[in-house]
Amino acid sequence: MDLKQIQELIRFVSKSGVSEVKLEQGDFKITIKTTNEDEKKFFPQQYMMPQGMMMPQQQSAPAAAPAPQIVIATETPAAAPVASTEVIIKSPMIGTLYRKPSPDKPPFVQVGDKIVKGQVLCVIEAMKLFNEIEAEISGTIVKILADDTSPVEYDQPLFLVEPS
Amino acid sequence: MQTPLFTGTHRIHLQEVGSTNTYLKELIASKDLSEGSAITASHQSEGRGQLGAEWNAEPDSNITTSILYHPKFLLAEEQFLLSRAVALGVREFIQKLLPDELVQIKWPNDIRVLGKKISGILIENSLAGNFLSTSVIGIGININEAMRLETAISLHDITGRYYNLEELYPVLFSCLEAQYLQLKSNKKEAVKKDYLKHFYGLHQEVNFTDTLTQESFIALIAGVTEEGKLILQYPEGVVRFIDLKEVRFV
Repeated sequence: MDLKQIQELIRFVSKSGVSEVKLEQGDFKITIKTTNEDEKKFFPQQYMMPQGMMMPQQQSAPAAAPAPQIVIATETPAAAPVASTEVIIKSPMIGTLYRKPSPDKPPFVQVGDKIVKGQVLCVIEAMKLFNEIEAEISGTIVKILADDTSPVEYDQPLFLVEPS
Repeated sequence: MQTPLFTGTHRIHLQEVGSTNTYLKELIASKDLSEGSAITASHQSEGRGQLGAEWNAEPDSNITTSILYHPKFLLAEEQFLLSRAVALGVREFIQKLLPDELVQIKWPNDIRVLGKKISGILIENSLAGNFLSTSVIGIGININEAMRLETAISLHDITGRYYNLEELYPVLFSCLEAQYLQLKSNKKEAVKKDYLKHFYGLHQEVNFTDTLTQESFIALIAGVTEEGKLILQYPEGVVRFIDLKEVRFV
């Protein structure tokens, strides 16, 4: 989850009137607690629950805090060392990486392949939108840093390229 | 009838093709095409997301088209806006033909009438750096075919009429173009708002199936994130952002 998504989540939580949201995505865990009583009107079913049972966190939270508190626990794999001339091609978006045009076809590129600017390196799919990622430089593929059909994050390294 | 300014003004019609999207992508690779160029086909044999259409459907039963746009004004991370705009354009087109029905967008971009799917959209972009460069917009709309699949419906199924596709294409193109120009003129908030206005199940409790556990559950549809994830509020108060493959509507 990137910063933008976290911001969006906080915005949503503070508007919704929910007292606490826990979200888990793999290694990533986030808890957002709100303290503002007045905003709790969006989801009426909240009121039907016994207060003490539903919102135990709320009593202990500091009453004056205007913004939601955030607790973030996340693990990010350490980046691989890169030789000074090599260029990392990063993911411009969040989605699922496809290294082949279709499951029964060979990959767009392999390690050792010469690539030219504008050549398609992979496809990233998000919400039924399919995106061909083009090389911005010409060179040679040194390393492939993400697996076929794996989820990728914004700015995640995908390819290591030695420019020509 | 409104006339589109550039969408479909350059149009190539094929009697039969595997996929109009693939055909258009191959054409773009070999020559420069103007923005709004469209491929239409009487019969598409292997289009993805076939909506349960029959292999042996009569030619010219349904709308099958792919349109080229250059949304260079959109960041890669803003691309769901394109999905919203196209869904709105297709919805508007169907609504014109079915003034008495509730025509809605079903997350993320199917069009739904009487609880069944009438249209599917598949968008393929190419990215240059962090911006979109070309976008191939594939649209299928069930028109004259009597649908056999229980989850699909056509215009003919609803009205009993038969439609001349040649008369419908310009109407569809102008509906799409109107939404695309909204985006291009930076009226992004209007597009987001309109999308939610026609969104099936918004602020309602809806039945879903968890695709992993196959368990069914009820949750409130609270909205859609910028990137297109469905925001669900569970009865116990937990909110989750849902990706496409995680749930199915029951």
